Amino acid sequence: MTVQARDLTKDYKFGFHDVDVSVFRTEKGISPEVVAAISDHKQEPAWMLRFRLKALEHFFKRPMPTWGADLSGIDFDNIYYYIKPVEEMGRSWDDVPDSIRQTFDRLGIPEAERKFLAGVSAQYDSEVVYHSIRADLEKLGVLFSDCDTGLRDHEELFKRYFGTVIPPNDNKFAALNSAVWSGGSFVYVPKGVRVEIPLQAYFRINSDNMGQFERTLIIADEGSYVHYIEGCTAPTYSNDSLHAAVVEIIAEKGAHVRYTTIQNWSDNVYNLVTKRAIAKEDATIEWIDGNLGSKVTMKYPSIYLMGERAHGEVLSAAFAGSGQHQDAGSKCIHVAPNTTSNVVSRSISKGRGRTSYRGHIKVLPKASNVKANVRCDALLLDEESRSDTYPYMDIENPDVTFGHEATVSKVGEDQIFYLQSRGIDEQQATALIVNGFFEPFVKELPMEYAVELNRLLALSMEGSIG
Amino acid sequence: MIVGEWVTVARLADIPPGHAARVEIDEAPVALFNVEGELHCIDDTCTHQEASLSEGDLDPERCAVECPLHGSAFDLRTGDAITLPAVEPVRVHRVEVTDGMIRVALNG
Amino acid sequence: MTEAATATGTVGRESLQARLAASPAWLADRRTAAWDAFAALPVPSSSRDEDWRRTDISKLHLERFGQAGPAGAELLELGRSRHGAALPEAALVVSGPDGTTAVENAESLQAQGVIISSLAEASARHPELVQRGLSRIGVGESYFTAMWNALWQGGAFVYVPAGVHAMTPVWISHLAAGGDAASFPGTVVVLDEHASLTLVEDTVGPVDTSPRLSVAVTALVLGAEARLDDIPVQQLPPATWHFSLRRATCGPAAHYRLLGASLGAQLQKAYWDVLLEGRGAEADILAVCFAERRQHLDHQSLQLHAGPDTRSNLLLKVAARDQAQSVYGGLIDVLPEAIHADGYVVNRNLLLSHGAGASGVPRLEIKANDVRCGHGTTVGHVDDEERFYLMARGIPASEAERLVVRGYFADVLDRIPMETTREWLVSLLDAEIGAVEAAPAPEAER
Repeated sequence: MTVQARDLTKDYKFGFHDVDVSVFRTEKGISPEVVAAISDHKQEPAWMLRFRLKALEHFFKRPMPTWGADLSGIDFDNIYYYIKPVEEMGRSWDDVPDSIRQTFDRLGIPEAERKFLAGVSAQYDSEVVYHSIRADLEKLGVLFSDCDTGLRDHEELFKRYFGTVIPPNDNKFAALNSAVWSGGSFVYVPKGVRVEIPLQAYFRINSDNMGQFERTLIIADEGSYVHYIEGCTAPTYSNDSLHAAVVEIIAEKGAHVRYTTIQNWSDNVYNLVTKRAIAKEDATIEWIDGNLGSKVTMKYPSIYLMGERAHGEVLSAAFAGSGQHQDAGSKCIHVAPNTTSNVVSRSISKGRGRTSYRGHIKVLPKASNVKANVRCDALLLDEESRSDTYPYMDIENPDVTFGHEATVSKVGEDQIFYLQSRGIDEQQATALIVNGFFEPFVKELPMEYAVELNRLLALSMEGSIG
Repeated sequence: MIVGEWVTVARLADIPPGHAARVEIDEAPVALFNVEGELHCIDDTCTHQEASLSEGDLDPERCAVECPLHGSAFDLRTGDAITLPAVEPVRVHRVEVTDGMIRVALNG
Repeated sequence: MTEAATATGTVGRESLQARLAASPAWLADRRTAAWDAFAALPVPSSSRDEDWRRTDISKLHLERFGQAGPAGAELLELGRSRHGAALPEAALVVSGPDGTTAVENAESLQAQGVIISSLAEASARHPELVQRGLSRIGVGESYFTAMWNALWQGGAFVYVPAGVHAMTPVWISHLAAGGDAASFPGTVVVLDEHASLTLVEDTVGPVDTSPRLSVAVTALVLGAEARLDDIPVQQLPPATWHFSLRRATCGPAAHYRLLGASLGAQLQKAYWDVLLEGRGAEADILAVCFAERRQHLDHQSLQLHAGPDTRSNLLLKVAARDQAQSVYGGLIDVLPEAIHADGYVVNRNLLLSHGAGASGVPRLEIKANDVRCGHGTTVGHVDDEERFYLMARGIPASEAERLVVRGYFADVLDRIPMETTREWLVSLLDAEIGAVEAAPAPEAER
């Protein structure tokens, strides 16, 4: 008998050393040359270049997803995948849309910060803050840098975990990120160390690093604790229409990681993120996920409960105003027995906004004594808004207590009436109710974020924004 | 067929180094891999979703195969899933080469 | 062109020709259009079709199912005895797998002006009514619906004129085909305004291990303020492939109530659609499903709110043991004009053994804002305490399980208004739960 064998090895005969890679850095569009130029510029080891090129192949082969939000507006050829020509960078304050400037005013954002958020300034003057925190962290043995540095200075540690949670062809956008990733954070917390102050990406950002293709890798060694915060509530203007980020988290035995995101991208952005965490024995992972901005967000923070007694929490809040589609959710995969998970999702749609909850709870056959719970609530503020819920569940072990509940409703007339009878006008009443609706999420945020978020929500209710 | 019986499935010449092939033993699909001269045999179907591992990417350094669908990597020696999204291992089957012929015995 | 379309089994051109010859012109046209659609449609695939993701029919080979012969005496007796035990006063339509139909005990209904006959006969005698009944079943809307539209025979038809409250219920007995054969049961019911009817549809076959194919469609149309109590019971032979569509369309203020039980078949894919089109229409769908051994029972529901002030409520309770799998997919779809829509769906799953599994996707798509909609799903097991309590009272493990499952299904079964029917269904379930496959369950630890 003859069998048909396939050749599975990929030989990268591409001799990029002979090509002038500087040319490719500032071209639009993506190709193996661009990817090689990125890797060369960063002076990466050969295995990373191979990783990128393989990922690029997967990206080309993979079709666009047929589910979720409408992604037809993405033009892959019209994007700079690495460095933009100087003329493209920097924008004058006059170019910043009025709506954004007004929001900054109303939120009381300091001047320097405004310029940075609006993409006018390339540096954020937080370097000082960052440096002092860094010294403290170094004493603890905590590593906190961008991923490029992480790869360079701690290659062995980096390689052990990189790509193990989200492999390069996990989905089309993870493949893209894996090919052209740049920036993002690398965090390693040694055994038993508790990092009491939240680590914020904000501290060490400048626009070179605040990329469209950020890649974050967080490793919490046994018994450690860290809280990482990404993003901010103030609207962030981006010239880049596509943000495809990847976040990988590994919580070793007994570790606890909390990852908070508040995203408020401008309404030209497609925000397509793959976020996944592994929780080993006795570990805890918490995703606190706030989605306020962007034109389209597709993001489903996931937790794989691999070790016994691991616990996962996803607390998600989404707000969709006119023309926005927040397609968010969560995935909790119970692989080991005695694991627990809890998902709470709150979303609000206004105007022609649309929110979708898309989640997956899976309990594998060996996962006995599992308790999993999902609760999604959606509020529709007016006739034009829209909300969908798509919860998937696959339960393959009978020794499980699982519940899922979802509701969709509008703001109760009796609630409004009650508040109005106390002298509060309808708009303010609605704002109060909206605040109350998001309360479970807001109370998990550090104070300054909570304050900003509440102010932002109040503004959104006024209709003066989006 | 009794689990454990040796079955001749291919000629060594059919599967040169760096190549893989899918064969069915009693309706069960398995994948054969030649990693730098050494033969390995595992279940062909990825434990994450319906995909054929014999169509994946071979990583000789880790002695692993990556599923073509989402990239889950499986160790060819132990069957362990070494990357997500797969979490369950594939079965590893015994392989031997005699007189240029590859024989496989399924493990239950 | 699907392979099966050219095969000579029952799903083939020869069968189609025979049906065409026996149909009035309008129906022959419909069958032909359906066949053309069927031939062009791909077989539903787990990897490609979202609603088939967890139900794999790649091992279904249509060619192996031949023409069904007439139902044997034993099977006829089985169908009749069930009717006699559960609801003897009901008019009876016995619909055989080969298209032979008999109507009995229908005189009082007919005196009221109710039309009760085989679907085939009604297609010739009352074409407009049958067309009205089938108006919401797309000729080629899906693979199995197109197949049914082309190949159904016999079947049952009931029409209740305006203002008439049918004085007896109607019992339709759909008898399964013999081994290695296929049947295409069909039921069409049309209720004019203010009409009301209680309907039991019993789909049954003998308990033998021969494979069979059953492709069924039940189309129900309720006029304004009409009321229909619909009680479908599925207890097909253990090796049957069963594909069914049940669709109820409700006019203004109509009230549709389904009380169902899915017990048999090896693999079932059942679609239950309720279209609430008129203002104030309401639907309550309550069902129990008991799956065991290697059964794979899949329910897909749709609650479409297309008119204002509509209400729908669905409760599906599943108990699964051995290696059985339950799949549930549901959608509450609220269109922009469906203000004040109130829609709820609950799916409860009780897993009785390792190896049993449940999966579900209850979806909500809400495009109107002044609504109240929600869904809930639970998956659980029999509490150790419950089991211990019963066994401490000397009740053996298998009996304890029967009691627990009976209690679990009680709130649905209690809603069946006819006492004799309710008791009959409870005894059917008891028999299913009580029947143990191999060795008795080992003593649990104390």
